[in-house]
Formats: sequence, C-alpha cells, structure tokens
Amino acid sequence: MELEAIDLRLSFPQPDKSVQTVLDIERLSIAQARTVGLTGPSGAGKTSLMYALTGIQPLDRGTVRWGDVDITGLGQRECDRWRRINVGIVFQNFHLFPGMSILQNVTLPATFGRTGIASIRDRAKEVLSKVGAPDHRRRVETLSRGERQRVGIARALLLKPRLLFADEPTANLDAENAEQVTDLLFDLAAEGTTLFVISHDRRLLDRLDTSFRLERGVLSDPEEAA
Amino acid sequence: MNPIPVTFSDMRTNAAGIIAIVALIAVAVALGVGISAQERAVRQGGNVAAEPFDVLIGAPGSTTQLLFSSVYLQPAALDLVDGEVLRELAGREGVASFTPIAFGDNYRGMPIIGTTAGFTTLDDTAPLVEGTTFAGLYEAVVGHDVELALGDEFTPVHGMIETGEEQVEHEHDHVHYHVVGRMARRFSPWDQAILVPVESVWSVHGLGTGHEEPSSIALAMATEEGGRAEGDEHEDERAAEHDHGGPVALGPPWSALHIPGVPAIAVTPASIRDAYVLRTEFRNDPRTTAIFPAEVLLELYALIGDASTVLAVVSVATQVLVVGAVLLAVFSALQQKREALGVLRALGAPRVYVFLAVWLHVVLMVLVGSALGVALGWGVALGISAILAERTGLVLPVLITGKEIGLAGVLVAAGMILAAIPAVTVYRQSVSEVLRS
Ligand SMILES: Nc1ncnc2c1ncn2[C@@H]1O[C@H](COP(=O)(O)OP(=O)(O)OP(=O)(O)O)[C@@H](O)[C@H]1O
Ligand SMILES: [Mg+2]
Repeated sequence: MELEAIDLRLSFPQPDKSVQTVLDIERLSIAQARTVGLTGPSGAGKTSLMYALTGIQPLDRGTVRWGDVDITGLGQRECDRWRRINVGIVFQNFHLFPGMSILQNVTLPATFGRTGIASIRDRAKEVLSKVGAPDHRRRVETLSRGERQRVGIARALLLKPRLLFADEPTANLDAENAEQVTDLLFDLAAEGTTLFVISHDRRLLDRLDTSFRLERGVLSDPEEAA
Repeated sequence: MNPIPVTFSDMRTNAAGIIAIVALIAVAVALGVGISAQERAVRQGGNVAAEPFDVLIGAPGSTTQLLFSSVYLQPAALDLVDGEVLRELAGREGVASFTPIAFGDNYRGMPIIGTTAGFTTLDDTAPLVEGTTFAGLYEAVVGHDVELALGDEFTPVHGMIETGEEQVEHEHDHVHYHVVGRMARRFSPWDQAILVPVESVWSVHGLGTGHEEPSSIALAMATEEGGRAEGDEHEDERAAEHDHGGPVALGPPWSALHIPGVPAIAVTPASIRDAYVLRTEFRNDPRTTAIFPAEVLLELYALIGDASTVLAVVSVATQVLVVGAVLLAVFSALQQKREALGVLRALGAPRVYVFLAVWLHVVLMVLVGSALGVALGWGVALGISAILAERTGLVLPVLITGKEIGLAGVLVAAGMILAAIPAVTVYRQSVSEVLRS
C-alpha cells in the first residue's frame, strides 16, 4: 500500500511546562517499496511514528494517507474500523491478554466481527507453529518474553493484513528464531502485505527494500538497501 | 461479535476480588429476599393456624394473650370465663357450634386441652386420620404429630409446660387417659396437642363434669370446703368407675348447678352477621371479652409490617451500598484492565465490543450474585421457618414469589444501567498513552 505522510508534528507537554517535540516530519512517502525499515536511537520517536501512521496516536497536525484513505481525516470509529480491516501490529511490549490461552489470544481479532473463531482456528494453529510458539493451550502469563513475542507476531499475522507493523519483532529472540520470524514476515510480504518494521537487527534491516532513520523526531533520507 | 473471552479473562486474573464482590451482592440480596419471604410465611402460617377460630371468647384482659394461648397454645395463666356463659351459649341463636378450650395440664410437654368431640374434627370438616373421637371421659384424641399410638395410655401432669418454674407440678397419678384417635394436620401448635373431653379436665381438678350428677356436685362442694385428701380419694373412685365404662354425658349442654369456668371458648357463628352480633354482645358483657382472631392477627401483622418495612429499607440501603461497591471495584479493575482495553482498541475492536466486555463484567457479577442471593435468602427463610416450626409448632410456608424475584431484579437492572458508566469511560482514555503504561 502506498503511504503519503505530510508535515507530521507531535509534541507532549513536559512536567516543567516546556514542550517536547517527538515527531517533526516534513514528508514521508513510500510508493514502490513493499518492505520498509525504521531505525534510530531509543526515544527517537519510532513507536510514536508507528502509532501515528496507524491512527492510534492523534497528531498535533499533518496528514497520513494510505492508498486512497486519509486516516487523519477519519472519525475515531472509522479509523478503528480501517485499522481492524487493514492493519496488523506487533507491539514492542507484546500486549497479550493474561487469563487467556495462547490460542485465545491469537484468535481474539476474529471475535471482533461476524466471522467468529471457528473458521480461523486452523489458520491460527498454522501461524502458531510457523512462529514456533509453545502448546497453544498454555496461558500467556506463563510464557517467557521470547515466547510472548512469537504469540504477538502470530496474532498480527492471523488475518493476513494488507499492512503489517512490527515494533522490534526480533528483539527478544535468539539468532535462529529471529531468522525464522524474519522469514515469516517476508513470506507475508511476498503475498502482498506491506511490511513496516522498527528494528535494530542488522540481518533483518539488510533484507528490506528501504529503511529510514529517525533521530529526535526528524527523519533522515531513506538509505536504499544494498 | 463475542467479547465474552475478554470478560472471562478479566475475571480469571482477579478471581478473589470477583468472588468477594459476588458474595457481597449475594448477602445483600439474601437479606431483602429473606425478610420479604419470611414475613409472608409468618402471615400465611398465622392465618392457617387461626382458621378454626372464628370468634374467641375469654375473660376480660389481654386479647392478644387470649389469641396466642388459644390459637398458638402459648402457655399463660388466663382468667377463667364464668361457666354460666357456656350454659347461655348452648341455647343461643346464631351459634352453629361452640367449644370450651381448657388448658392447664400437659403430658411430656404436650398440652392437654379440654374440649368437645366436635372440635377434634372441626365439626366434621377435618376428619380424623385414624381412630375415633372420644366418647368416654378418659379417652383422648391426639394432634397429628403427637408421638402416641392408638391404645397408648398416659397420665397428665399439672401445669402447662413440663418444667414449670412457678407452679409446683404434680402428676394426677390416679388418672389414665387412653388414646382413641388422631386429628388431621392443622399446621399449627395444635398438631402437638392432646385433646380430651373438657369434662375430664374439670373432673381431674375436682370440679365435677359440668353435667347434672349429684355425686359430682357433692364432690365439688367437698373440694372447695373440705380437705383435698378427701377430694382426691373421691376422684380416684370416680376415675376408676369411668374407666370401667360408666356412662358419662359429654359435650354441651352442661346443666350442672355450678358449671366450672374455662379460659377460652371458641364459637362458630351461623353467619357472618351473627359473628359481629356475638362479638359485640360478649364484648359488652362485663364477664367476657370477644375477638376475631383473624382481625387481631391483622393488627399484629401491621406491627410486623412496620418492622419489616424498616428492615426492607435497611436491605435496600445495603443493596445501594453494594452497587456502589460494585462500581468501585469495577473502576479499580478498569484501572488494572486499562492496558487490555487499550490493546483491544489498538487492534481495532468496535466500540460495542469494548463496551460489552466491560459491561458484561459488571452485569455477570450482579446477575450471579443476585441469583445466589435469592437462593441464599430462600434457604435462610426455610431454615428460620424450620426452627420456628420446631419451637412453636407453626408451619410457616416459605415461598419465593414475583415480589422477591422483583427485589433481585431491581438490583440487576440498577447494575445494568450503572455498568454503562465504566463501559463509557473507557472511551475517554487515550489509547497510545494506555499502551505506554
Ligand atoms: N504520551 C506521552 N506523553 C509524554 N511523552 C511521551 C508520550 N509518548 C511518547 N512520549 C515521549 O516521546 C519520545 C519518543 O517515544 P517513543 O516510544 O516513540 O520512542 P522509541 O523511538 O520507540 O524508543 P525505543 O527505541 O526505546 O522504543 C520519548 O521521549 C517519550 O517519552
Ligand atoms: Mg519504541
């Protein structure tokens, strides 16, 4: 999907009454690329940018347009709906639901609509085995960080979104598992999904079509992949 | 759309808190339901017990005590109604039937009531379940639950309760009743009573039989004027005589020169009009007072009603507090669940879905708590009724009706409405902020 983001500005008031500018981006445009990377130091605003591009974080000003849709012009309800239909997100902190099994967590997005989980259960088990998640009956609060990460990825992949955002998807995985997960993300991209990855993982970044660097809320020119 | 997994996961992660709140709701509902059901049980039980007594005549004094002593056989020392009243009632117009109710003796704590044969079957409206009614002076018909079999013999003890504190009790050694019949169930303390001819009660106490019988008149005189040893001797003789089948007149009319007094007289009037005439007449008579037990009960219920209104207000107040507690708990749970609800929204869950996830959480707790409360209230009322039945002999039927369900329903409805508040506030939070915390 094509992205056209113009004049994004996001700032937060600080306790000392000054204002911290988190995002200050004149223009971010992705036309050709299927797989996009975002790197930058901690606190640079990478997660904030991801939330802004998915409509989770309202901006001070600016427009974000995905394909024909200007999501900054949508009402909250329509924006939530657009996100539900088009976007999968792998959160940096996973954000799984304690008290639920792995399978319940992964199939949760299917309970939002009319489909229900019956038709999606096989797909869920398939994705879970691809990411190498443990027994799907286990409760998520018993899992290690690496295991949680994989469940989070499976949840984002479940409904084959047109846009997949992944915030540090390999940060908690060993090299072998990291590669497996990376393969999975690129498989999905090969099927037509646009991939947007925040990462410091060199081996992941090297495979992307293009990468941006964010520093103190300001974008550097895209460094074309080798 | 199915938010139930989210609701249940919330509950699973905070099971102890949920159980505490559900228990709190259950107790509050049980209080309201129990009070309401118990109050009705007392009314119905009281009415059933009072049914055989249309008009009660007693000596002037406390009408409440007259009611309790006759209908519920509560021990009390009542003044006696002049025996002449019995003579007057026998010929009176407007009286379908009447019977003296003479208490004072007991057998193993079960009151022995001197009465007429007609009263053992309520004038044939409640046939005996076994045996026949009494035809001899020392024959007895037992209440439905009395543990005596037909043919058993027993000796009465003076005093209304077995271990009377004030009265010095003594056995009427020389007297032996034997059981000839058993009454139908009356759902009242009368199920624990033993009914005997009033003539025998008089006779046991040396007052004759109330019927014209030269020897008994002489006996009565002797007892009043002479020593009691002499009287006892005579009684023994007479008792022996009757046990051997000597014919004795039983029941009205009594014709002795001096008819002994009785604590109470139950009158069945010929018509409703007669009932009012009788009551007025015997109220105005300086020797007597007269009551409609049903009416006295209504006055008593009014008192109970006042008390139960106070209790009902208390229980509603409790329920309001509980709803408040529920909301507090939900808001604090919301605080803990902020992340989950934020993630739901980030994943694009529709508003209704998020709303329902929170709303169901509250409503489920209130529903389960209320259902448990109704069951608990019913159980407690049944328990209280069982204890009262054992202590008083009154059968108090506990029923859960629309009124009790309605009480619980009000709480559920309130819960459903109030649950919308936290469900709506979820939407006032910034998702991105929630996701960071
Ligand atoms: N709601 C908020 N209120 C105040 N400050 C915020 C808020 N959201 C983000 N920030 C600030 O914005 C800056 C960027 O945060 P962000 O999480 O986007 O960084 P990041 O690049 O993802 O860092 P990391 O690599 O550590 O994940 C941080 O300084 C953060 O404290
Ligand atoms: Mg981040």
